[in-house]
Amino acid sequence: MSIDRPKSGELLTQDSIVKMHEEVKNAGNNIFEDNLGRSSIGPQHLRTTPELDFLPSSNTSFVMDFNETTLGSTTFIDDMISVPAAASQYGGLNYQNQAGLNTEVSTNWKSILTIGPATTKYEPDLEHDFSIIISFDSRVMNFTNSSKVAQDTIDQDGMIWYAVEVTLDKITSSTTTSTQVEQGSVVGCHLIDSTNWIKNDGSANSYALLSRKGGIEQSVSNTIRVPIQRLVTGGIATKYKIKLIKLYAAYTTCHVVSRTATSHTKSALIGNTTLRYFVLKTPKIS
Amino acid sequence: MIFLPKGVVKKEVGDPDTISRDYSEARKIVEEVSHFQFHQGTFDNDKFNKENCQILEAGRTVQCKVTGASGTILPKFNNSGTISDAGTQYTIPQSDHATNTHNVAPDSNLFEIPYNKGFTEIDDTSLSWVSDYPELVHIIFSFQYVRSGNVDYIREENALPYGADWGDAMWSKIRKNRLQVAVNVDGVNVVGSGPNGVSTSDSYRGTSYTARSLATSINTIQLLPAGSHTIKGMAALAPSASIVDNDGNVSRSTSYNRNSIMFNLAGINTDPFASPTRLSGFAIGENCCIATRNMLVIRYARGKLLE
Repeated sequence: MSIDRPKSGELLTQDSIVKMHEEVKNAGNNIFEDNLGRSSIGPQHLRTTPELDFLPSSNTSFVMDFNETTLGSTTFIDDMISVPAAASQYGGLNYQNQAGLNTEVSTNWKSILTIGPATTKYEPDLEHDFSIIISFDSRVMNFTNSSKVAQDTIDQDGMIWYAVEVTLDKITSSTTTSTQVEQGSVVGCHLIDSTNWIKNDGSANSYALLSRKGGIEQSVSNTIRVPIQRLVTGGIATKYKIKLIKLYAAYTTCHVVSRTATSHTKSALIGNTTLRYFVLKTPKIS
Repeated sequence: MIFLPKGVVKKEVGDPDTISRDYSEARKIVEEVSHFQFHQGTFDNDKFNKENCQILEAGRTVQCKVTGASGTILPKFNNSGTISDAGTQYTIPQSDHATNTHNVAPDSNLFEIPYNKGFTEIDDTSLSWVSDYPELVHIIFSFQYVRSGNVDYIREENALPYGADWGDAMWSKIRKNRLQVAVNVDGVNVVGSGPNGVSTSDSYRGTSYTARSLATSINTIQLLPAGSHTIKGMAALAPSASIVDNDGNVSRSTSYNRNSIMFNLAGINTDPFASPTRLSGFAIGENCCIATRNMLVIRYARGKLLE
């Protein structure tokens, strides 16, 4: 592209000079879109060190909300995942549909952390979506009996499972509330070790229970995304608000012999549990 | 490329051709600029676009079929990594566990990790995009790993049809399923993005994860130039090995073929024509699965109008 310049012999005016100046300036300011080759600016050109004297301006234009809560103490998980009552039924994490999972978790599992309600409302428009990013961390500390005494795991081989339940207010002319356990949030771990351990030299009768320090010490973490997209109800664009985000946990023995129909004898101690979320405003993904 | 504006010197008659040359040259330089014209660390953070971000997601939800009296229900794979017992129903005890059972099939979306074949892409974790600007990319890879218990695996010594338990005296000798995981960015596994490593000695210790299950989130932040990018979740079952002490009392490890512990080869020593017996129990690498997985990529644009 050339400069649109006055012809030789023409009268030079302020406008003709300004016009040429503007054309150069415009080309420079469009440098990354039209004129600058792809990858022309790389990581080597960007400052990655903290700029304490010149902090970036507020980024609240797209980070819409954030909250975090931490379990103040250890908790015993003695709530059991359910079992099917008949061969024709579903149970536990063998669920038939979303409603089945919702019922399983809210009915049988222990609620260990809750965040909410939030005050910020999110309103996806024609150009933007929102995403709630939820994550949790937890530490499975000990495998215990019902008296909360550390136990070995060789026969009971338990597992701890976690799930996140999200309750959203959808606000138009009135407010409706929806609650759902996010399927992607359901993860768990075996109780792989204990404060005691069994020595087994290979023969069936040579078990010896030995003391062990350190417990299970298995960490669990997970991150999920809950997308929020534009919804128009009765001609009114829906606003969303987080009412509650709850972290649940439950226990299973994994071993039929140690589990009776109405009670169980094992549980687990967890600690260092944190639940957090943040909400990002994003361009609409078509 | 050097820009040398001449301007109009004293007492010179201002001619449009002469004056416009300065602007034409300036524009020419602008249009031909490349990254070579920028010094390292040229741009302050606040010069760049922080208006919003983009989120990409891939994943798969898997039911592990756990109930209050059963662990995860896993499919049985054959040696080539495909399900060998398709349609098989596994037992979940009912509440009156002693007499009735509930038969269910494993979730079809479980991903079995190939044994001793290096890193392979985990299904449903790949994300690709083309960016117009350099981006700061936050990658979050969450996954559930689960396998069968040690007691279900065939042990190495004597081909006994059981494995070993935690704390077992044989524990240091049994063959372990060794999980390795990484986040792959544009064909390269990011260092530190999961339990994996390269042994710097004869021992494999410290290079993989051997417990029965794992549920975790891997976070890594990368600064990527403009262009096309692909991110994947990767998993491997590293070759299993046992650590032995040789005559010099120096620890070393040896790796094993998966088939070598699926069959009882003891009789072969005396009768080379004898048919080996398939042992009961799982061979190494069987039933090691990635269940629910979720790959999130949050992209923050780092290029904006230069003002």
